Amino acid sequence: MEESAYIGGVIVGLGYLIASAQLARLSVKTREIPERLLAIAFLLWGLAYVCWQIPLILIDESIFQPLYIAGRLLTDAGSIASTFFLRLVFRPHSRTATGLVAGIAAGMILGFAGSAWLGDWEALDPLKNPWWWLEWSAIVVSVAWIGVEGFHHYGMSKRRRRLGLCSALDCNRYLLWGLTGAVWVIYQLSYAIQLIEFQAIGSFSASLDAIASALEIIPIAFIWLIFLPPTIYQRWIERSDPQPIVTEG
Amino acid sequence: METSLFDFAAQKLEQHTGFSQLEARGTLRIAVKSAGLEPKNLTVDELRVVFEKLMPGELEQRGVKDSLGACAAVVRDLESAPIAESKSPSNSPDDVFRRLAKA
Repeated sequence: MEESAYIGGVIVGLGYLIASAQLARLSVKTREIPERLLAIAFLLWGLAYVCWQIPLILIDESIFQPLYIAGRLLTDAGSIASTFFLRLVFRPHSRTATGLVAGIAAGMILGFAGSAWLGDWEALDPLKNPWWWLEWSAIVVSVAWIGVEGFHHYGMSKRRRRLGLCSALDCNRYLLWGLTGAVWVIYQLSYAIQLIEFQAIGSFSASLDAIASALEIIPIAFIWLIFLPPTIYQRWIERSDPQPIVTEG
Repeated sequence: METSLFDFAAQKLEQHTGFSQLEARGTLRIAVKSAGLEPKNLTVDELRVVFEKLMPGELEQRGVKDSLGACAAVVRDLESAPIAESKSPSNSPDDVFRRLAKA
């Protein structure tokens, strides 16, 4: 594994953990469920990165496999928490959304169990392990859902903005949320290609490693701009998209 | 059955325009959607903007002569909507994301 991937992983893991801590602090104040769910999702994803980064700096190979397995479990659990967040915030009364959450969770659990049954505990062999594709598909659907909701609500918020019913920052948050989901989908595609390549040639290529690292870091930047936006960024968005002048009729 | 703000506004639109129930609900749904709003999660303020800025045009297209007068009448009725305050959503996606941005 390349050094860039390690540094990328550390940055991403820390990013999730800090965002999680901030959202957890907010949830204590507000006692609302959405912030709690997102804090849990980010915490689990952050801990997954901790599990994946530790083997890269340790010599004791005996703990590699347990840490990778723990990383997978934490990723799946975090993804399930994120789908609960999506359902609660965007589709609170939708039976389809409830079914989607159940389907995603079932896909991840069955995919994990099936991989374990075939002995592919670390889920590294998409060429021989059909269960890998089930778990991967469930993750892809969960992140694609983030993108779809983000872009859909971005379109709606642009219309509200024209009528003075939505701020530039609110609009921008939906755009960033949609982009976050879109980049995560691309990352998952690159991850699948990476693993197939690994099974074919026995090593990870440096170029794909660099691309994957970038695709992991970009969403963290978006998440920070959504949930922890610096004042300078907020001012820039407000200046670049001033309140439109509404004409009647 | 509980009356939503959408139902209330559609009923008033029907009264002030002479539309059938289906026409009133359909026209309101089109206006609400083109404002980027969800019929299930409306506030009085949002509906007021819809009736002031979008609905007059929609009514004119459908041959209503005094479209501005009809819209003003619905806006006045909205002020006294009995379900107005209780139906205002506090956990809409906008509210949640705005709150989370203050983490």
